[in-house]
Amino acid sequence: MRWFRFAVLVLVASLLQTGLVSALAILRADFKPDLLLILLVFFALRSNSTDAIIASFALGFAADLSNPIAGRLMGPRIISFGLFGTLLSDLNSTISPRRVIYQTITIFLMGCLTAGLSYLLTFLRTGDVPANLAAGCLWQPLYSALLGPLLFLPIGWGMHMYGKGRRRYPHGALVRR
Amino acid sequence: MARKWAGTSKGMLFASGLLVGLIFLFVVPREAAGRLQLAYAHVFRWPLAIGRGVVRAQTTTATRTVNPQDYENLLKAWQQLRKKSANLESQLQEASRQIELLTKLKARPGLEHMQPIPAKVYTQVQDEMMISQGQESGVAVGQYVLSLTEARIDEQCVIGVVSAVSAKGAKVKLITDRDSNIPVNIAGLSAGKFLKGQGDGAAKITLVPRDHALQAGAAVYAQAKRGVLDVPVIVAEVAERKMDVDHPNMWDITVRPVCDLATLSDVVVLKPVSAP
Repeated sequence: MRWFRFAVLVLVASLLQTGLVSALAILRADFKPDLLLILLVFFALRSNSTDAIIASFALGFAADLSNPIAGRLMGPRIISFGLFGTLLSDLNSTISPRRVIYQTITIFLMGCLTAGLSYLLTFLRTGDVPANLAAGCLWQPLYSALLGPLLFLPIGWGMHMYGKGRRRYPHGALVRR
Repeated sequence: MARKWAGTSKGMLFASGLLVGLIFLFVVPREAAGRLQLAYAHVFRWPLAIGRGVVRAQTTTATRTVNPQDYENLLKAWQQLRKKSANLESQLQEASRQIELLTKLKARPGLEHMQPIPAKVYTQVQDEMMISQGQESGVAVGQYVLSLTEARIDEQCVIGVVSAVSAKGAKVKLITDRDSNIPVNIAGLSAGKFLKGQGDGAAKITLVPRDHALQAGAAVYAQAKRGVLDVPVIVAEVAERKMDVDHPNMWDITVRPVCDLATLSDVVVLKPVSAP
């Protein structure tokens, strides 16, 4: 894992998410893709599990810093991204989504799960239910799922991670890419 | 980097990350988290400002591409709404003004048991006027009608009596009408008299003994009358007094209304509270 490139990529994605991604919003201002969610799925699928854990928590930190669910609150996305990113990385050794349709479904499910847990933790901490619950739990993951597989290719080039997931030797050992 | 983490187990890494998240969520004060987020926004204000500028430019462009027909319709609707809003505002101001006047009128000592009914003057022909309130509002024949002006409430005066009433309007016989004959008191005189209209914008009080000293400008009050007027209210002032030619020992007193009847646009009918 090239960590400097990773840091730059996360920073650029955070800045784009805060500003420019709003230009891609359709119908409503909060119907926009989540670049950090796409990166989360990308690194969980293409990194080894140790790197995936670090990347997941780092992406969660970036998400909380740049696009918090509730103002003056950090932590919900660190936990949800870290938890589900680690889980996906572990599952990737048994179910490796290589086809675009599976990647789309994975991003959508990851978006729903991370958003659901983030909103739950926010509710536990503040007692407030965010107003854009449906957008965060449904529409944003859907939009990200449609856009995500298209971004996997340029991100893979930038990070020198070209493969479509870890492959297994016939006897079960993993190939490190 | 990978080598650096190689010695740490995955479980430990995961637990550490989770712990950091929980600390941020439950231990770090929200103010500190807010300061961290603000610091991020401050450090990267330039790229963020560029992003916002692009989004704003895109939004503006999108606004410009509104269909001309839609634009016309929206403009028309906006103009209609503006007119409606202006009219409503004007009506609200008028209603507020009337409420303020009526509140003052009702608060006047002696009028607590009277219900003032505000009305607009439709027309005024000679010594009669048509007003905008009728039977449906509780107006009835014989009720006193007062002026309702912007002036101080103490300056309101009796201008006439309701002489006929329909469902939505009423006719008021002014004090200057030839058929008007209302009981009055003159300031300084204990005995009650009658004020009789002359039909020429003036009224007279007759049969006042000449032994009473009367000055021009003396106030003339409509007599208090149970169920109609609880307290005397000024109606006119003495304009001229002279010897009555038919009764040389009596005054022939000419009075003029204290209100300018010709310019009145608002009046108030006094209805007793007990009346249905």
